[in-house]
Amino acid sequence: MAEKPALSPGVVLAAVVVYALFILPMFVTVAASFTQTQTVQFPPRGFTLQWYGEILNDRELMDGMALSAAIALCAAAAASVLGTLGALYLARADGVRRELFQSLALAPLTIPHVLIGLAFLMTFSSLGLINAYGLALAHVVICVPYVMRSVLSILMAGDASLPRAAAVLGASPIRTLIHVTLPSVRPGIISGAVFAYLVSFNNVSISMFVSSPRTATLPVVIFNRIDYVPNPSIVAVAALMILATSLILLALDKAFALFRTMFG
Amino acid sequence: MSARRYRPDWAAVPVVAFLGVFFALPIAAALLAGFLKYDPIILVGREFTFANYVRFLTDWFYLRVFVDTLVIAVLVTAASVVIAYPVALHLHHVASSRTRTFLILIILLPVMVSYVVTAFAWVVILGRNGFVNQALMATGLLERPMALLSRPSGVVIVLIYTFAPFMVMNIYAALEAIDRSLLRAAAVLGATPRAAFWSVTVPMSLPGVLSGTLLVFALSLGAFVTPMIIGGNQVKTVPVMIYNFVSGVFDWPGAGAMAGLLLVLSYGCNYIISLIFHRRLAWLKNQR
Repeated sequence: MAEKPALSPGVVLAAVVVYALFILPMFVTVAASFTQTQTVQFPPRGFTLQWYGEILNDRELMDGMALSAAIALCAAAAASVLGTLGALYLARADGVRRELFQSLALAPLTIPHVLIGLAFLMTFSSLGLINAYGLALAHVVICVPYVMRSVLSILMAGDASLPRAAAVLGASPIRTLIHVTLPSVRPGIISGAVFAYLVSFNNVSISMFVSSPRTATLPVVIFNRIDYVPNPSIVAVAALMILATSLILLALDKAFALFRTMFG
Repeated sequence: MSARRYRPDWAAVPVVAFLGVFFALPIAAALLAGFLKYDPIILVGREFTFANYVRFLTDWFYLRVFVDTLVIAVLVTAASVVIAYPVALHLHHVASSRTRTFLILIILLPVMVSYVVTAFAWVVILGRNGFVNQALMATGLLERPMALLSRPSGVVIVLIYTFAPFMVMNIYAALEAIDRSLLRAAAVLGATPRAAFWSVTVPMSLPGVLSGTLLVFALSLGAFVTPMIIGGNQVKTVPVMIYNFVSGVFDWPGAGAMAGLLLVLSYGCNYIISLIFHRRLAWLKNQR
């Protein structure tokens, strides 16, 4: 008996149409970045890598890229530490305190970003944090839930007998944590951190509120330039972001399972 | 036994401290500002008032924006279910894991890449100087470019593209979680594949539809980058208006009050949607 009955052709056709429509905008963006014309064109006329070269001469784009990379690195690192600690706590805690902790730590996922951004703008502007430091702090906040979920999913699926064995053999709780628990959740920390890096690098909704003209992340620079007649070098940057994000997603083992833990 | 009992309660301290100071307090401050008087010089005054809330809740102009935002969110969510279901079914049936990885990448890209890039890609296709307009003008069907994007339908289309992946992934996960023996039981009991689909697969996938619906609805309600890029200034939604209050007219208390209303609306809708689903899914809940 076939476990999965064959799909009806209608469903397959619908799915194929959706795949095609989903890849189309990404394809168009990458293709348009090769145009020889001075304005964005699809289908592209001719083929040139000139616009990728233009990025190198574009101070604002280069600064944005460097800033985004640095902030994403800091945010992913800090969120890995905080997220792992949070997961360790959640795996063992119970009762009201667990509920409270969970709603605080996961709130960045459920509160509208426009409110989070406004909140950062109001407090950070009075603290003089509308700069790279403020951006990094804001990004840590939105990244913590991702690492926490990623690590927690491994802790919950993990074997509880190993830490118990360590304890029976006389290891102190801290030794057990460092030598048994942490190594076992390392894959969760790594994939959570990579995911956090992607989220931070690509974020625009929070960054818009905390950016200043001198400290604008790459997505904010792109946002500010879309209003003007977009020049093909912006398309080239967008194409680079699409390609980089795809490569990282492909490199992430089981991107789907990870995505599922993040947004399930 | 001590390993089992050992609870690293200290691990919560740095997380609570950090999120308390850099997240909870700022959110509280922003919500509090909604109850303070607007001051043209220091922006947020010191006087307590309900005036901001009263203004938004009694002026038809603002209420209209709330209604429009809700309608957009409902349309995006409903369309996402329709689009996502066949895709989730297809992913569930793809045998080769390599093909599946590739297809999942296609679906995940719009949410993983910056929303700026996602929206910009659509500007290249449907914008004033975009591909579609140029093609239509080249064939002589159009004399002047049409505004395909800066209208609510354009915003809805691009929001579906941006958020439907969440729906696909939630439904797909629910399908993967279905116990195969249920389908076998249905077949043994004489159900045709079609009947088994409607009486087993669809009901068992509803929890995925619910979690996807909650997520997509909340995201559509709170989206502002996509509506701003796609809608120009033609499409007003609550988050876009909040952003204009913040950086256009610098009325921070107004922005705080409107963000408070958005938060209540978002959590309220979340509650209502779960209530409706859970009433229908009561039997499923008992099973788990």
